[in-house]
Amino acid sequence: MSEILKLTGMLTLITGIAATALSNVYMLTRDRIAQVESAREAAARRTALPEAVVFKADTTDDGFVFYHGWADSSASGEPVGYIALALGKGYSSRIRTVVGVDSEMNITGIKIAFQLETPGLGTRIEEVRKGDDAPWFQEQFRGKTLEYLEVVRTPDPERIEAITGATISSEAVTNSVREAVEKLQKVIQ
Amino acid sequence: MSAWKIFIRGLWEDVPLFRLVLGLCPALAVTTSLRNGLGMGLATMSVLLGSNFVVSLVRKAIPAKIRIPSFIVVIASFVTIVDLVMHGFTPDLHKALGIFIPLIVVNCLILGRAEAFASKNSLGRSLLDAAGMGLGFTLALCILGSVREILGSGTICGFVLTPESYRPVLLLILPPGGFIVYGLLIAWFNLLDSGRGGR
Repeated sequence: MSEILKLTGMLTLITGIAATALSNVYMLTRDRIAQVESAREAAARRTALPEAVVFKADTTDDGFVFYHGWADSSASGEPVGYIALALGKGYSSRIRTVVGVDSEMNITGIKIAFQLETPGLGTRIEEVRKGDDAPWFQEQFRGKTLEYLEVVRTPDPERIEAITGATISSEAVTNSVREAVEKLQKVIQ
Repeated sequence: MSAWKIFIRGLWEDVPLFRLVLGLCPALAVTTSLRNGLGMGLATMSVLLGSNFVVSLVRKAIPAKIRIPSFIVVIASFVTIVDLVMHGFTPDLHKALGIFIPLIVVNCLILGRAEAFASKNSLGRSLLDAAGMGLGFTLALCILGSVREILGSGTICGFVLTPESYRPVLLLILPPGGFIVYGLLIAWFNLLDSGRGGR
């Protein structure tokens, strides 16, 4: 009996030390991590809507967050475009994609902000081919409108070509982008 | 066992993936290319060094009966701390290694070495063991990753290797292909052994 108590006490002590260390490290790094993530998101917004220089967040009554983007720093007049966050259930993670559209709802660009898909397969949604500067899968969205957001298995410049062996990830991104654009369309028009 | 023996064992005689058959799940999951294999191998090696270090330090303080749960707590906390610090201070490195880190926590190679070696040996010997095993694991992952990348995608490190007319065997970069290549490599290792009189 006393041995059980001793072992339990020992294990409690070890987990207690571990928990204290973890919570301290978490508190110390929390702000840094938030900064890193918000810088990443700001960079993603610039990729998704390259024309805009100023972004302003906005929330609809039902909690949908989107951004207006202006091409001039005074942020006056009509926005050049809008930004929304698309969430899609991929193969092994919830893929977050920043989507940009112009005032006509043509996609100006997308940027995957977070994904933990299968290395070598699903992670290729962020693959940059040798000689390119931008990920080819995401570049396919540039200039497309809603009705062409469809995943196909053969090369087709009009549609979105799936990544070989990673159809689920390809479709997750495409479908979530379509939903995000549909929501933006409803909110703005 | 001499220091050299402890180190070199992990590279040939007891190479984790092909001899001890440890660390299989994260290994097969990520070795779709050479680059991924190398990343996973190096990340595992650094965690292995850290965990063998800590486990060897505390080995006398922890009662034998609760050593396994204690080691798991130590290793998981260690990896999570490294993850948080990297996320905050080296975001680019973290982005590149991000997919490997959660896989390392469940890598039985780490716990295996803690249990089989670091819990019974001095600090220096435990670090040598971690370095040898880590390097052996990295090399094995690189072999696996290269074979799968060359045959499965027709590239190496992203450079196109094969002629236009070659159609990559997609199966090899999919999960079943991982098992097939792995099985053939084990067979090859065993063949090398039997050729030298076996063991």
